[in-house]
Amino acid sequence: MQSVSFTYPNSAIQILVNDWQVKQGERIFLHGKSGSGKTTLLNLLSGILTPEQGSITVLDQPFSALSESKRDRFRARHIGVVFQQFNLVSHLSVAQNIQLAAHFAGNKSLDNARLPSLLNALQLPLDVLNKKAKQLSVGQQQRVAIARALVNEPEILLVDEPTSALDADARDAFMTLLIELCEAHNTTLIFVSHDAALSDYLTTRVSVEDLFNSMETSSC
Amino acid sequence: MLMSFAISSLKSRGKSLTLTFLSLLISVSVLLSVEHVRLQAQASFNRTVSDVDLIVGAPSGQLNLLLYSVFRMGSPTNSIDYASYTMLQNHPQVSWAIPISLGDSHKGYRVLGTTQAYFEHYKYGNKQPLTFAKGNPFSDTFGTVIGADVAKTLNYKIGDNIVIAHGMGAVSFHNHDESPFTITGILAPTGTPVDKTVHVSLAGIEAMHLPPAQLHALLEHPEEADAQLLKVDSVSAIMLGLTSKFATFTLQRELNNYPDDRLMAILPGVALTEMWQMMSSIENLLRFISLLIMLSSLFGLSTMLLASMQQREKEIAVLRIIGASGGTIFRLILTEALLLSAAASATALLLVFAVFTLTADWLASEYGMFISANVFNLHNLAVIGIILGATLICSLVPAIDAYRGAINQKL
Repeated sequence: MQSVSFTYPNSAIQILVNDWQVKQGERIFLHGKSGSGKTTLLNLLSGILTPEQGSITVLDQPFSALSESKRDRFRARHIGVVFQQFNLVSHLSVAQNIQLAAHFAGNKSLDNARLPSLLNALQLPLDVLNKKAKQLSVGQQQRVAIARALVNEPEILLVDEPTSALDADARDAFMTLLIELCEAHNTTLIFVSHDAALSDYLTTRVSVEDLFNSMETSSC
Repeated sequence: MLMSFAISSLKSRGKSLTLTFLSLLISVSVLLSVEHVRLQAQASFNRTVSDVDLIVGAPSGQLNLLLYSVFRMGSPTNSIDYASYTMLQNHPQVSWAIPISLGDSHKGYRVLGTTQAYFEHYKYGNKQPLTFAKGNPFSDTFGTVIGADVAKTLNYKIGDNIVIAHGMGAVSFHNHDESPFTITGILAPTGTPVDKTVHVSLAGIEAMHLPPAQLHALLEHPEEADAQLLKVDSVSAIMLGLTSKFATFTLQRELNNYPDDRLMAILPGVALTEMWQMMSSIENLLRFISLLIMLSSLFGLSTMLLASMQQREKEIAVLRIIGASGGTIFRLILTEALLLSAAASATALLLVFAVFTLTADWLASEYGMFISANVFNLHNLAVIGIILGATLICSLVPAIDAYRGAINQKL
């Protein structure tokens, strides 16, 4: 990120990032107080939001300068996202949820063996494939969300507060599994949480307060 | 994938989807029914009589004459002299003349007194002549030829005897029991009021109205019957075929000014057009009401989709984050609306088909409307195309709303 600035309309918060670089395969723990702009940063990195000024380059692509449709396609192919809530489309089956991500990435003919191997890696039974997302436990939903994020073998995985609904044991199991998968695929991980205890699982710890040149401005 | 997602998304909104579907189903059914009845009625009216140049009757208005002589609806207000018929038969500009005598019925079916000329010259549809499915035209006083529907509904066959009743009602208290008629022929189906008509000779009409003593004598010794006994005095109307079409207006004027009888001659085509024009205001009103119902249903669909947008914010966020573009979300909403509208239209088509299949006989017997149940035609497909187009337009508001929501969506 180079000289990036962003302000939500009618918001008092302005986000400024002078310079931030993440290396391939790095696993970043991004922490900060609620409302400090962590999720906004993920939205900028995933191309959902575009900066008002500055540039964001992802995998050597001037990401923020791409057209919206190209950004959407780039995100589908190269960036996996797991977030805190509403991870899955509730009325679709697990298989359909995962296939949808492949479809948007242009991966129309998802290998039949890919889904079982993904579920196997995430320690999910195969019979969940035909279950509706709403029939799964919270833990299972989070794992399916990871499966969906990884189905296109993205180089970057953005994860936003994924453990907030899990108890301590489930949280540790989830983190171990996530790190193992990222290591196996050399995936760059940017993990956002306000739970400082999770930083032990990641290599680099970044505080949003340090990263952002956040400052209060008057509302328009 | 987008299609299966749209189907799954629609299914997930059970109650609101069902109500919207029912609303669309009813409105599309009404619209298709009105359109189908309109076209079928027009076709049915236009095919009822063909190749008849003039219809002559007592002065009563051309619609009334057309209705009772061709459609067997209503009653002749007056009759014309038989002498007028013989005059027309011998007229140099007349090629053929079919006399029609009405006033009696058989179990609700109109009885029409006529001559052999009816079976030789009456045409329907595109100048199609009448043909016999079984038997032959009547050859004596108490012979009768019945239409296809009469035979089918009342399960009559050649040789059966039938009793004719006085008046037009389905139930009559004055039956001509002493003079039963024997069925000599059954006409092939025509899809016109002919199918619902019992045809007898003019002499037969006179015979059954004879005093009992004279009728009894006639039945016992028909060969000795006095020619004066069965002398026809009047007929209800006469259908004419002319030697030259150019003579039509001249003869019409001549007959309207005929000094020896009060006659009125009408052109069937002009009367049919006038009748249709009279009905067109009702037809247009029906179409307008149908369109309003259709529009209100489509707005209901639009409202349902719009209301669902708030509930679907999270779903749209998920789609965006896994790579769906704003355009994809836009297309998804339109696909859902089109799927619902197409499903309602297809079901409506089947429903209308079923309703007309079940009510075809009733409509024909009660209203003389020969409505084909075949609704699977290009016109109805065009109507459905217009409905889908209107669906697309009405769904633009929720689709644009979803698109805007999608491109501003955050995690």
